[in-house]
Amino acid sequence: MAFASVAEPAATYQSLFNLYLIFAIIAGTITIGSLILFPILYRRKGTDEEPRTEKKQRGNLKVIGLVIVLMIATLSTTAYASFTVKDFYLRHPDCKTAICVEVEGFQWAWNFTYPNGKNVVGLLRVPQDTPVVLNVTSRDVFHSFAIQGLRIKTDAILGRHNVIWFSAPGSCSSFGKSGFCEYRIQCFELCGLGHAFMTGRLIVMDPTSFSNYYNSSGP
Amino acid sequence: MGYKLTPLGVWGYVVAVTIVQMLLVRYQSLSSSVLNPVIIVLAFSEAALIVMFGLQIWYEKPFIILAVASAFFTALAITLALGSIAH
Amino acid sequence: MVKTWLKRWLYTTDHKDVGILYFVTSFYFAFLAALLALFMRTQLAIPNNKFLAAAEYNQAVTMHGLLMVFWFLSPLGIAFANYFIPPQIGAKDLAFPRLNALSYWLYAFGGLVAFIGFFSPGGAANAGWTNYSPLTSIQFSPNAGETLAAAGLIIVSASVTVGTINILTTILFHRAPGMTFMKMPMFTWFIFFTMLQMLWAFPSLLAGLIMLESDRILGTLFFTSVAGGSILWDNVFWFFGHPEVYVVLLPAIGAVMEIFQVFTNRTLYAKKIAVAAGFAIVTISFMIYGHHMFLTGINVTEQEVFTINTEAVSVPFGALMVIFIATMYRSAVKLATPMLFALGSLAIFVVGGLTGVFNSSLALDIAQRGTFFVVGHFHYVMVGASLFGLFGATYYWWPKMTGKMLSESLGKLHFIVSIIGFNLIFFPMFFLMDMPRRIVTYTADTGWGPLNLIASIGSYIFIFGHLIFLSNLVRSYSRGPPAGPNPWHGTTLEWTSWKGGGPSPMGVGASSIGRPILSSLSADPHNVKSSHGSIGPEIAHQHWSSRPIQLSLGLSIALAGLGFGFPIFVLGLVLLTWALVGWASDDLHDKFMVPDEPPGDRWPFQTTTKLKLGMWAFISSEFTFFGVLLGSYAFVRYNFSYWPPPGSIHNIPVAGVNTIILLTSGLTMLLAVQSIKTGAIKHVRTLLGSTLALGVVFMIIKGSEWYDLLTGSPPFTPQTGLPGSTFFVITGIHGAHVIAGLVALVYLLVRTRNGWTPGKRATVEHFGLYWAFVDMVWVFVFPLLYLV
Repeated sequence: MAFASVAEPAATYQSLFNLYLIFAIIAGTITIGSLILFPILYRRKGTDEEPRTEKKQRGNLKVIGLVIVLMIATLSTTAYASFTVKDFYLRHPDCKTAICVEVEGFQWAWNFTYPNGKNVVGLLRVPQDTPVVLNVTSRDVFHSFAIQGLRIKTDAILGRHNVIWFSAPGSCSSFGKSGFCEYRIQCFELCGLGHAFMTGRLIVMDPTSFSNYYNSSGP
Repeated sequence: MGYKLTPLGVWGYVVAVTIVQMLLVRYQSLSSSVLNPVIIVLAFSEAALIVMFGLQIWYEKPFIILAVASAFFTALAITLALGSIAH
Repeated sequence: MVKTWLKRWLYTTDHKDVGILYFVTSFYFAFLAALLALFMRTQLAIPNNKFLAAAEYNQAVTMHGLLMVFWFLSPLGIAFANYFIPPQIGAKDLAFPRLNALSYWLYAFGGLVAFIGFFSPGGAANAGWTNYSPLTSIQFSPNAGETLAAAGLIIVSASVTVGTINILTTILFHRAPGMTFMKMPMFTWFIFFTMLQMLWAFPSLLAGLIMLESDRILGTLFFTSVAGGSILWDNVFWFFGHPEVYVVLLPAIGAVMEIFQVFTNRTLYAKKIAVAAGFAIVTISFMIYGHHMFLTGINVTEQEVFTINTEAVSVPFGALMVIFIATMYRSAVKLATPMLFALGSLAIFVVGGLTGVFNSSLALDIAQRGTFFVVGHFHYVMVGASLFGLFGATYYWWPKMTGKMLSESLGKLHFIVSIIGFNLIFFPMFFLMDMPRRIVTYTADTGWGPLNLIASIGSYIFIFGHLIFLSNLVRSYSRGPPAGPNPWHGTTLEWTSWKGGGPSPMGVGASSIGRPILSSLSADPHNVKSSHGSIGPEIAHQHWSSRPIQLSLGLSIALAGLGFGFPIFVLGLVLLTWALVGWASDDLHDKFMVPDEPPGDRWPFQTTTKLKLGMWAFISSEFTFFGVLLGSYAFVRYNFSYWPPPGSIHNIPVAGVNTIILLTSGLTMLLAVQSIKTGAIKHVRTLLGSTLALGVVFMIIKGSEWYDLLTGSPPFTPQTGLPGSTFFVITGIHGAHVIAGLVALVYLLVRTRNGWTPGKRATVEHFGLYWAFVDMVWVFVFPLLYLV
């Protein structure tokens, strides 16, 4: 199971999520199962009414020791996997090989500025299978920029620039009004009255269409 | 008379350190990246004496539990916050 | 008749009465917050709904969070702590009964101050319970509601500080002979852990709130400037915020431990490990808050540390789960309602805890941050684990509090409806990872409609469960079957020895725990059936004071004045002063008398006094408070490329002389304390007077320093920049502490004018601790603000 993959943050993310999920399901089933099973197995049978108290501490501590060791082993694995994936997220290409877009959040929309100075609000068009680096900040309050479908997100904070990157494939399951693959852009931190409406669209175009768009003056 | 020695001793030290701190800044003989830590360390030494004698730990030692724990959690807060600044 | 009833409930300082007050009030706030939740779920049930507008929704989501966390879950735990810790450890009452009442009234009025925001222009606070900057600045939240919510939280912080000192001192000092730490019941242990967390976490919140209100009202720049701003608030708030969520949880877990032992008829498996796990949780909980900040752009190494530490905190919780399950092994489980809720609480906690592990990952958080996945996670731990545990505690302890039994069938029905309703609301949220939190509505094309509808239906079912619960409580209280003194055959002292009789042969096993508990109540003929019988007139006389409610009212009105204007602020201050003077006058005339607890197990503080311990606990919290304040200053400086060099703004020689003056006042105070200890009391009042004089000189010089800065050319004010903001707020707060000390000194001098008693001598020592602390803070403030 490869954790770092060049093209698809979403798939990388999903692998990591699945790893955590497997452990969670195992741990959850055993624990919740015991919590349901033991009261039934060891239910009171009418004779054990008088309170019993033991002076010595009850129990074989080896069980707890074993569980702790298992937990540490599991959590080390998940932590290591997480670090690897985060590393992948952080290693963004430079602006020679990628398209670097400035993203500025404000109440209540997203402003995109392309390398050639082209400026659009609410709509981000990119060519398919090309790395795109986003330099995200805010003009006013604390926002959070995300393209959930691609599993990328970063906070947009006044005075800070947080960098994320992605590369979107040309084929997808969500075609939009444009006829191309579209992903929803949304704000993920409460930022005032318009928080729910601070959305945008990511449109993934073929190289020619993108080229025409990029060199034109319209939105 | 004996019981006055400790308070006077503590007082003498903190006043002397205060004057030293002011002189250090006045005459700027060291660069500030060395000067500032020195001044802060001196402040900690003053605080240690005040905690020891003014806050009575010297006389009622169990309180050191509370002092150490408070210092630990406060240091934790400051360290984690300042640590988050580095990029 | 009404007058006695009113007088009792407004002026009581008895721990059982205060416990009842907390209990009832917390459910009142829960009702308000639940209504808000119902409104929110109704709004979110279908796409593009118009039930609530964005402005209303934002207020609802903010106040729902604030009320539930601060005014319901935590106080409900404290209600049980108030009622049951003294009997569990063999004490008559809490360490400081009037402070107990003060805690309660501050909490109650603080809630009203926050809630009144709904009726102010602009509505209630609407920036989320987390109050992120700069949304909470006056620029982006001009409404008074945010000021009022922050004021309410400041009042609650005061309540918590007082309550923490009280309960910690009680546990450390009021244990009966033979009640060693390891013999303490698990509920008391877990309240002890909760208090430790509160002691060091709430000061951070308080510091943040003071800086926030200062920004909003005085125009300082702590959270609005680019150099710091959002990230500073994030750090300061979450250093408090993360321990806070365990504060909400641990009392419930403690109660579940009690319930488990009674309804499995066994002692807890590996009790020592449970205690060790508690200590681990307390310590680690302060080291993990950065998982709320994974995407803010803080450096990766620190993120990795936070991931590891957050995962680490699940280990003690895992140990606790093993302990619970193993306790049931080969036991005799009785599935009465308290046990059902205890089991439910743990099962739900497992889901909450496991989803917490998902959120601990600095990588997975990239998708999960700010989404309903997180909302699902924290409701599972807060509502599920904490609330269900506290429901269990209610069913468990109700017979002891009221002398009546609750209906088992209604209880079981409540459980079933709640479990179904709860899971219907929150389990779907784990599949709504693409849906942002705190949005007022969404479009149909997102596909989020069906799951939201299920959640909303679940919320109506859940509320229906609460109505069943409420009817059970009312029915039982008015005409329920009477309960015996120990209907569940519990073994802890609140069940076995609350008869005014001899020692319990079982339970903690040491027959040295034997003095009759609550001897003052042994005259009560209702004592056998219900511990909550009527309090006789002589008890009511001993155990009441009008000052706590007056003081709380004064402080609350004053702080509400931050939002409602200067006249209200002044009115509150007048009332506050009158209450303080009244309290001092009561003490001068020895009006409030509480019987002393006979010496018991006081390890490790065998040789100290109760008040000294309380003062030390107070100083511990103040230490963190100033630490966070000064740490914020350091944070801001590190982020600011330019800072005025030393001496360019401030007059160092004058400040240095002033420092020496303050330190000399510390000398005279320390000499006074040493004189008291060695018995040479002849000159003590002179020394106290000198301390007072030096302190006054210090404040005068400070005042003139301020005047010169504010009227200088150019003026140096709190609003001119961060150097100004930090300087005035930090020296201002320190100055306020000095002034409070000077007022206390005046009171000391007045109180000792007619000679010395041992109590008065001790007061000098206690004050000496406070004054030394104030000196110590200045020893840091002076170099940090003037010299570096």
